[in-house]
Amino acid sequence: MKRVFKPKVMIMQGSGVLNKKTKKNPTKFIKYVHIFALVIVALLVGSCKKNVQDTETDNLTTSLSKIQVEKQVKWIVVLPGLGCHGCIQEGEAFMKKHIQNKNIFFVLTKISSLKILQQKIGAQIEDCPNVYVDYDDLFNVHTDNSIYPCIARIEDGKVIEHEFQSPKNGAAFYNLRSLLLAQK
Amino acid sequence: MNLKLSKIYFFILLLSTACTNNSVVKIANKNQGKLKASVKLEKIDEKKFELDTCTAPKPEFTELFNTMNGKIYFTFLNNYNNSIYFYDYNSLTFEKKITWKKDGQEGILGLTGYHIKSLDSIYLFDKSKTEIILSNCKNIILNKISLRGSKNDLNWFLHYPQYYPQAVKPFIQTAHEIIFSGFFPGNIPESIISDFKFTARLDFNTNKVKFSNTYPKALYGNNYNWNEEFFKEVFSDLHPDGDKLVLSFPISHDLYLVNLNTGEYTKVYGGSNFAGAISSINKQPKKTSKDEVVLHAVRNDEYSAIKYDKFRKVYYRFLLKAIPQAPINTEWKEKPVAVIIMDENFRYLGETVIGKIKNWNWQDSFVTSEGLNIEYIEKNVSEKYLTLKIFTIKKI
Repeated sequence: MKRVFKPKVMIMQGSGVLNKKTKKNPTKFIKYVHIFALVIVALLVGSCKKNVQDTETDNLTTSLSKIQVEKQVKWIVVLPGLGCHGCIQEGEAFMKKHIQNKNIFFVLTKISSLKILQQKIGAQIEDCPNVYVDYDDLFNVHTDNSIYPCIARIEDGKVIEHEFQSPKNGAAFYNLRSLLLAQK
Repeated sequence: MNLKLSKIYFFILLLSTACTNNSVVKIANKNQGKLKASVKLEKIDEKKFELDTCTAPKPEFTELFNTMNGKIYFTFLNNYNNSIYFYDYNSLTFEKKITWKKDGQEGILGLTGYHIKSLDSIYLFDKSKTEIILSNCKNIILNKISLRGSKNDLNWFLHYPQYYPQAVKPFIQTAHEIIFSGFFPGNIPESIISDFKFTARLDFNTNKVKFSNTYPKALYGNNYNWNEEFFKEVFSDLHPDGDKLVLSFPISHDLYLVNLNTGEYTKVYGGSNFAGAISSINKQPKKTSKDEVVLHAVRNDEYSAIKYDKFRKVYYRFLLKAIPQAPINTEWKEKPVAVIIMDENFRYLGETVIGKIKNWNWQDSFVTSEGLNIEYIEKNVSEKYLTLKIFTIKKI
């Protein structure tokens, strides 16, 4: 790998103008250089992208605002058709069992085959008002988590919290099932 | 004190330089804009196969199966019920299906590809175990052959390829073996590039597997970031001489002919008149998000399958064309699909854009006496038919 670093261009060496100042008040100048360098470091560290969780929340909230969701809906389940196979199977099993629950709104995105999904969940999508088929890929969270099913809790049309069913978080649907059972 | 601080700044600067600097390669197309077209592809026919209630179009794998008595079957894999479906290619009628269990001792969990040598010898690929399973039309398992060496080798993926079977890069049958092209899914470490072999060759007399063909170092060496599998897949077809494979690497305007006996490579030009330079990613692999990888693939030209048409004595090379100014979040399926036509000596004859990836399942393409068959994705949500459009070459 190429290394372009050359010690000659180090900040500490400064330009000719700064060197004049250095001669006048070297301690003060070094102090300024330290502050300047710390600001640069802070900016570099602080200028990182928006954190992943916030990006996902923003994308989900924006997507949600573009579709019609009943007021009684408390949970959104985004189920991708392509991605983590085992995680998606968990989602499909959950959907099959809870498709009649009007507190849950299902979004089917990156659909591989609606025909096969209907076979798996044992229902016709057109008969289910709480299912949205996302042909336009609105619900892509645009992070590396987009391959996992997502569970979001919503209040007044806003996403309050969300998590993904993934190999690292294998109990997301189990937790939601437990919550739904507790609410009964 | 000052010296100490200067060392700290030096270290920070060095760190930021090391984190952002990544060597990039641009593979130029020496013939861009210089090639003259004399033929084009023209749609001449279509075939519609009616599907049952548990079958969707866009199957993961399809294959033509020619019987001893001259019948041609269009077969495809149904992942949902782990079956291979047989349709009469000419009459379009469904004839039968063979189903394998998914679970248990005899189960095949990750069936993603197959080769029907005869109805008594069906070679199935189980992705979950990276193994070939020899079965028959009565779904009896006859043998299992590992493609990842010793079962105890936890680092097998550094030594053995992974596979993504598609109709455009099928199991190639020769007189005594089945050849199956794999790939290295991540960035290839410089330490293994000379040793990693991506072609599995199964001798169907002994059921022994050997591996051959390494990635050209000039393309994939030097730790260039060609992230993920987009640029790493290897597409191949058998040369009409029968002793060579024609290899198409996504990032190369050239085609590589590899001698099956000696492993020797010969390079020939096989590019597009319109493809530009193909660049590696200007970022370290760990710092590249999936969205950035996709966007990079969208903004670059990407060669894919190579198919030889023995009826017309031409080659077809697929090109997923770049969308240079594609905005962030543009999907891969928006890329236009072009087919480059070359004569049997790889001389350029022309190229035709057939449409976008979202409308054409180019992975499900094969050659018959009628022409080049490519699966078309119908907008109809009922998913009632699998549709093949047939193209042939016409003089301009």
